[in-house]
Amino acid sequence: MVGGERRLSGQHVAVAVRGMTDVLDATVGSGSRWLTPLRGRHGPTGLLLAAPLVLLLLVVGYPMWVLLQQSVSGPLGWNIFLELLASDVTRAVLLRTLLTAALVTFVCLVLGYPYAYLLTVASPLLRAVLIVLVVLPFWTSFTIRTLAWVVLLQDQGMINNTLSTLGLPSLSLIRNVTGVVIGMAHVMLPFAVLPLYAAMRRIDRRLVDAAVACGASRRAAWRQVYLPLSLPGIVAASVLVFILSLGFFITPQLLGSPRNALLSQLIYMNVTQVGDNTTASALGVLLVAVTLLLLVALTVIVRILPGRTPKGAR
Amino acid sequence: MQMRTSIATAGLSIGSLALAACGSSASEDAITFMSGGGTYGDALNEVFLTPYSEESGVTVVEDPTMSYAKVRTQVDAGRVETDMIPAEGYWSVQQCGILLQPLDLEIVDLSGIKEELIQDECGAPLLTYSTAIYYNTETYGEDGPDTCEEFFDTTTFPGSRSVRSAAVPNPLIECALIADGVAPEELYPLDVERAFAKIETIEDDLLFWEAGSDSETQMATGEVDIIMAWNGRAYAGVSQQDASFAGGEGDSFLIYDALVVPVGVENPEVRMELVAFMMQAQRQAELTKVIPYSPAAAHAELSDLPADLEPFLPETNPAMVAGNHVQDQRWWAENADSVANTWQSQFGG
Repeated sequence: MVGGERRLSGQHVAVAVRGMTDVLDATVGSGSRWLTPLRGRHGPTGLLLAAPLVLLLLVVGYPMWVLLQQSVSGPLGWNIFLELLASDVTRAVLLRTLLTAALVTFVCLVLGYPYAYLLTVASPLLRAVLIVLVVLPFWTSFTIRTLAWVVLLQDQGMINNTLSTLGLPSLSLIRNVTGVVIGMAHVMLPFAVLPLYAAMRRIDRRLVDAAVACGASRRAAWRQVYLPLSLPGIVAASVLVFILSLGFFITPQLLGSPRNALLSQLIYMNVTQVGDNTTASALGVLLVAVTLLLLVALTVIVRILPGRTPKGAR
Repeated sequence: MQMRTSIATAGLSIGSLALAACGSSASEDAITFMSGGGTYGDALNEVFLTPYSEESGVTVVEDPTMSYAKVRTQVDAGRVETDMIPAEGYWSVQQCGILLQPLDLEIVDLSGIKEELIQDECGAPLLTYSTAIYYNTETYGEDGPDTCEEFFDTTTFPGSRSVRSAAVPNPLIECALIADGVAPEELYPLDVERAFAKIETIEDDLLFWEAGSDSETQMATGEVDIIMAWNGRAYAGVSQQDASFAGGEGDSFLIYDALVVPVGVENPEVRMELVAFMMQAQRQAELTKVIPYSPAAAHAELSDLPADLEPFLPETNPAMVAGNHVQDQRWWAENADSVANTWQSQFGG
């Protein structure tokens, strides 16, 4: 229990965000809890979960079932998945989708970690401002934000024009992986900052001071005390950003080129240009399957991860 | 309390208004016309849909959320709400008899339409546009590359080349074959392998545009040197955004949008009446005044066009005619998936 960290700032935004982060905690923060939502010992919790679960089955489960049926409705049947995995194009695009998502996750962590730390040490007012800044993009349409990047990143855009005015060589920032990652990281940053902040604000910073008092260097104290304590936040942020990044469409479509096509674009091409809904559905199922596999793998890793803080840190 | 009641009443009346609106749009004689909206949708409204409503008394509801997938979903679900779409030629051919119903030729008279545009039994050609090659005059001066041969000649004309990113029906394939020495009249069936071998030779210089507006932007900012763009977009880029681009008189590839009616619509004959109305040559000519597309009718007389539009249309610029090839949508309909896959593995695989 860390008194100072729990003090309400009185700012509505901060309260709202705190609520959001708590929800994030509950869903992705602890690797072990979310897979066993309906354990009998939860009693009333199980009942409370029944309604959303029914809704989830209805609006997610059923469409997924339809999607699966549609993927195997073609002449190939279930073999369509083997066929897809045997195709160089699908494999390359799938791999690229995973790599791009990983790259976005990395960028979001590098940017989000210090930002989240800043949130925990800032005064309540500054914190509210910083949180507004990070949540602000949520209030603008996704497409408009991406188009804004086009204006900034294009060859004769604001960034390159500034560079050339300064006599610097211009950069290739659009219609390549760089553009896609910049655009996606911008959208995903709040999803990294909020879980990180949720985890960090529960860390008792006196532990770091204690480590220093016991003779650890600042750096060692940070590495051996603070970083491990913030690990649940890092995991939560990574999972959230990575999974969400796998399904991006608008950003790579506008900021990338066919050379950087992600799986969603392959699905789009099959639906709109080729009119092959079977393949499109199968690709969708494939994406979901890969995502679930990764989630399970991550859960297992998180569970066996040494030195993880117990959930009861608060 | 008083306040609350009045809000509730207001809510109710708005609700019933909305219900009434829904009721009328779902009534039997209303035609739902799905297009991409925007200036295209506005132009169709002004020239065809509004006059038709006034003349016939039939309500035409505009749905600006153009999506082929939506039509497929509606037909598969057996609840067709979209009555008519101006579709790309290849899609009309591809879906004729599957998602789309044959035209009722008792009602729709296609005798005035250019013969080469009638490529299936379901599509009534409405307008045409061409993908032509335009060059940056700041890079090449006044005598730049606008033939396929020049487009692929990176020695004489070094620089970036931008093409549409969608694979189907991308005339880059046809252009590569022409550059490789295939006679335009012997293009089909397209030798895709040979085309991609040729495309590989310029791959390092290749850029892509996604939406038509992107191609305009690329011309306006001058960030590309050569571009394969729709003639209407090139016109918009040059006349409205002062893009320093010229050309378009070498090779160009003509495609068309055709009116199609999905299977399973209510009262198909009422829909066919609107198709027939939109096939009138002079009415199609009116459209060109509003938006830079050419009529599909053979004898539509264009008049009162903006003067600066004339160089961009094959109807008003004789220099465009010789190199203007009609793209074979039947071939594209049949080979859409294989080209799309090869395209994907070439550029994104």
